[in-house]
Amino acid sequence: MVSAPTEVQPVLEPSENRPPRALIVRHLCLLAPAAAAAVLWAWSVSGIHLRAMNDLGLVSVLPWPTWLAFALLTLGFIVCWRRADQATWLLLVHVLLLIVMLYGLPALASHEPSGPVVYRHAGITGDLIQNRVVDPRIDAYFNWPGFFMGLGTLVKLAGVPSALSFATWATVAFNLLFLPPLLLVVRALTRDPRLVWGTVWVFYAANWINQDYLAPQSFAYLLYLTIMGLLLTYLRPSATDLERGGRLRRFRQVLRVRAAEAQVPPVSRSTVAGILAVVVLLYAVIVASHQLTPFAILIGVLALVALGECTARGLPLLMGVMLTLWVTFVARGYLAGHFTHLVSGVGDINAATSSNLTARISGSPLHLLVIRERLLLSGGLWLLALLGAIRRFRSRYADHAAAALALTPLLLFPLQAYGGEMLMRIYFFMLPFVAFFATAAFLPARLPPSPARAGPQDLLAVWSERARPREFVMVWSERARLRARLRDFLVVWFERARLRALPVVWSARARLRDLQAVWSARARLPAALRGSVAAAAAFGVTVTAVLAACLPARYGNERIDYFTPGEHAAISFLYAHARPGSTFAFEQPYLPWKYQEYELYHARSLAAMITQRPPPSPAQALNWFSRELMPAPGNPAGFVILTRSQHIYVHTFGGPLSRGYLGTFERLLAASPNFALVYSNPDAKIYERLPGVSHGCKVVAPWNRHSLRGCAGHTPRHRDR
Amino acid sequence: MAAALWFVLVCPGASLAGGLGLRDRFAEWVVAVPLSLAVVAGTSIILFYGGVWSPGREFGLLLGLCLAGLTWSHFASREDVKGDA
Repeated sequence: MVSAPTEVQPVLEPSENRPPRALIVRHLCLLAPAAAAAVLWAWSVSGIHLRAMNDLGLVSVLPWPTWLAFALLTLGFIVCWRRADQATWLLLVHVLLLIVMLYGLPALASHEPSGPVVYRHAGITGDLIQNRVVDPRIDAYFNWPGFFMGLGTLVKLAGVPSALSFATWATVAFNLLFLPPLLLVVRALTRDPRLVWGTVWVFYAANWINQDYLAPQSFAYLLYLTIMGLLLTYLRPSATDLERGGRLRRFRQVLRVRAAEAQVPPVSRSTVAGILAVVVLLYAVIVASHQLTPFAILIGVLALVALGECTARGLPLLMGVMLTLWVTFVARGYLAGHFTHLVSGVGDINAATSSNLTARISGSPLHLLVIRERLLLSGGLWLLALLGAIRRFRSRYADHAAAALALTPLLLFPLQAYGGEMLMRIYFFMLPFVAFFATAAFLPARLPPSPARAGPQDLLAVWSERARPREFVMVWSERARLRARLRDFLVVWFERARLRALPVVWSARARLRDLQAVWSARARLPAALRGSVAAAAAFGVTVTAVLAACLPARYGNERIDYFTPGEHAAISFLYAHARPGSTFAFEQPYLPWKYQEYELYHARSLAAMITQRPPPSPAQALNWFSRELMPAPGNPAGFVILTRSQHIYVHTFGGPLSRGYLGTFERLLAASPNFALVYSNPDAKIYERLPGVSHGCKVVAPWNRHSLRGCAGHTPRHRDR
Repeated sequence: MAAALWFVLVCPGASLAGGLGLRDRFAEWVVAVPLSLAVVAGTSIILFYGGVWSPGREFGLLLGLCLAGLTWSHFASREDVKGDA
C-alpha cells in the first residue's frame, strides 16, 4: 500500500510576524491590478458599438482598454496565486471579477439577452404559468419541463412580468453559482491551494461553450457539479476501504487505485444517508429538466463506483432506474415520435463526427477563423491536461477519480449527435477536471520516495545479496586486481596522450561548453518550472493565452446573437397585431421571438423548406408561403418576417440558403400582390398575407405539399456555437 | 424581487443543509443553493404534474418545508452535540 503523497507546502513568508498595517498595505497592493482592471473594464465597455461587429464577433469591436483590463486582472491573479495559501480572499475577488468581466460583457454592452433560445425558454415558462398544466405534445421541452416549472415559480414569487427579466444577467448569475460547487469538487481532489484556484481560473477562462445562459443545461450543470462535489468529498473510500475485498478489487489493483490526496472527512452514517438523499433529489430534478446531463452523471458515477472511488455502490443502479422511469412513463410521447431517430444514431461514429465537427467547419472566412481558433483552444487545453495527468500519475498522485470524470463524458459522443452540439457538451462536462490537470502541468511534483517502487540500485543490491554464489568470490577478487592494474596502465597512457593532445582538447572543450550553454538554455525549461517564480510565469502566460483565446471563441457568434432594438420592435409589433393561430414565416428561425403565447402561433421556415430534394426555387418557395399564410376561416392571416439577424446568419454560417437566393426571394415578396408591407425599420420588415385566391406562379416542382408539411413542423436547431 | 430571490435561492436548502451534519460551514453553503433550487424545482414538478400548481400553494409548500427543515436541523444538531459529548 502506497501512502498518499504529502503535499509540499510552498515556502512562504510568515504573515504572523508581519505588522497588520504592512499586511493590509501589501494586500491592497496585490488588489491594485484587479481594481484598475475593473475600472478600465467598466469605462471601456460603454464604448462598445455592437452594430459594428464583423464575423469575428464581439472581439472585432472590443476596445484596447478592455483587453488591457483582462491582462491586468490576470496579472493580479497570478501574483496572488503564488501566495495562494495566504491570500485566499484575494484570489476569490479576482475570480469574481473575472466572472463579471468575462460573462457580463454582452449583458453590459447590449442590456438585452443574447441569442434566440433564451426568448423561447421565457415563452415556455410563460406558457406553463398561464396554463398550469403540462402538454407534452407541444415539443420536446415539455417532456423535460422541470427547469421551466422552477423558473415559473421564481417568476411568480419575484413578481416580474416574465422570465426575460432574469435572462440578461443569467449567465453571470449561473457562473457565480458554479463557483462554490466547483471549489468543493477541486478541494476534494487536492489540498494544494494553488492547484485549487488555478483550476478555478482555467475553468472560467476556458469556458467558451456558452451553455450557461437561462437554460436547463445551466441549471443541470450546477446540480451536476454539486453531485460530483458531494460524492468526491463525502462518499469516497478511505485507505482501509480500498484494502477491502470486492469484485472490483483486482481491477483497482491493476489501475493502482489508491486513497485520494485530500482526506475524506469523518462523517456519521446518518450524514452519509442525508448526503445520498440530497444526491438522489438533485438527480431526480436533473432527470426531469434535461435530456443529456443525467446520462453524463450516470456514466461518471458508474466509473467512480467501478474504480472504487465512490462508496455508494448502488447509486448508479438507482440513477438508471430513475432515468428509465422518466423516459418510459413521462417522456414517452417524445420517445414514441422520435425513437427511430434517437436509436439510429447510436454507435455511428461517422455520423457523430460529421455532425459535430465536419459540418460545423463552414461559413464566411472570418467565421472559419473563429472555428479553427475554438478547435485550437480546446485541443490545446486537452493536450495540456494530458501532460498534467501524466505528470501527476508519474508522481504517484491518486487522481483516478478526476481522470475518470475527465474521460467518461467522451462516451456520450457515439450515443447521439445532439443536433451537432454533443462535442461541445462533452467539453463542458469535462472542463472542471481538464482544468485541474491542465493546471497541474505547471505545479511542481515534489514527492517523497515511494517504498513501492525500488530503484535499479536497490534491485542490484538484492540480486548481489541473494544470487552471488560463493565460488565466484575468488574469481571476482582476481578480476578486481587485474582491473586495478589495467586502470594504472590506462592512466599512464592517457596522461601521455593528454599532454600530446592538450591544445586540441582545450579547443574541443571550449566548443563543447558553448554547445552546452545553448543546449541548457533550451532544455532547462522543465527543470525551471519547478521553481515557484518560473512556474507562476509559465502558468500566467498560459492562462493569459487561454483567456485571450476564449474571448473570440465564446463571443464569435455575437454578431448573430445580438438583436437590435429595431428587431425587438418588429417582433413586438407582430405580437400586437397577429391574431392567435397565425402562421409566421421567416428565412431562418433566428429571431428574438416565442417569448409569449408559446403554442398559439405556427412557424414556417425557408431554411427547412430548402433542405427538400430538389430544393424549391425562390418563386416556388414564395408560392408555398402564399398558400400557407392565406387567411381562411379558422386560419388568420400569416406574416413573413425578414430581419437583419437572419441575413447575418446566412452570411456567417453559409449553408443551402445563399444571399442571392434570399435577395431574389425578398424581391419577389416585395413585388407580390398577395403580400403587403405592414411594418418596416432599417433592421426588419414584416409582410402580411392579404386575403385572396391568387397563388402567383403555378408550382411545377416535383416536391409535394406533404413533404413540405413534414418539414414545416420541424424547427431545425439553430447553430449554437 | 431581491427577497424572493433570496428565499428561493437560499432558504429551503439552508434549512435542510444544517441537518445533514456535514460539519463544514463551507460545504453547507455550497449545498444550500443547489439544494434550494432543486427543492423549488422538485415541488413545482410535483404540483404541476398533480395539476394543482399555483404561486400561493407553491410558496406555502416551500415555507412548510423550510420550517420542517429548520426543526430537523435543530434536533439533528442537538443529537450531534450529544454524540460529541
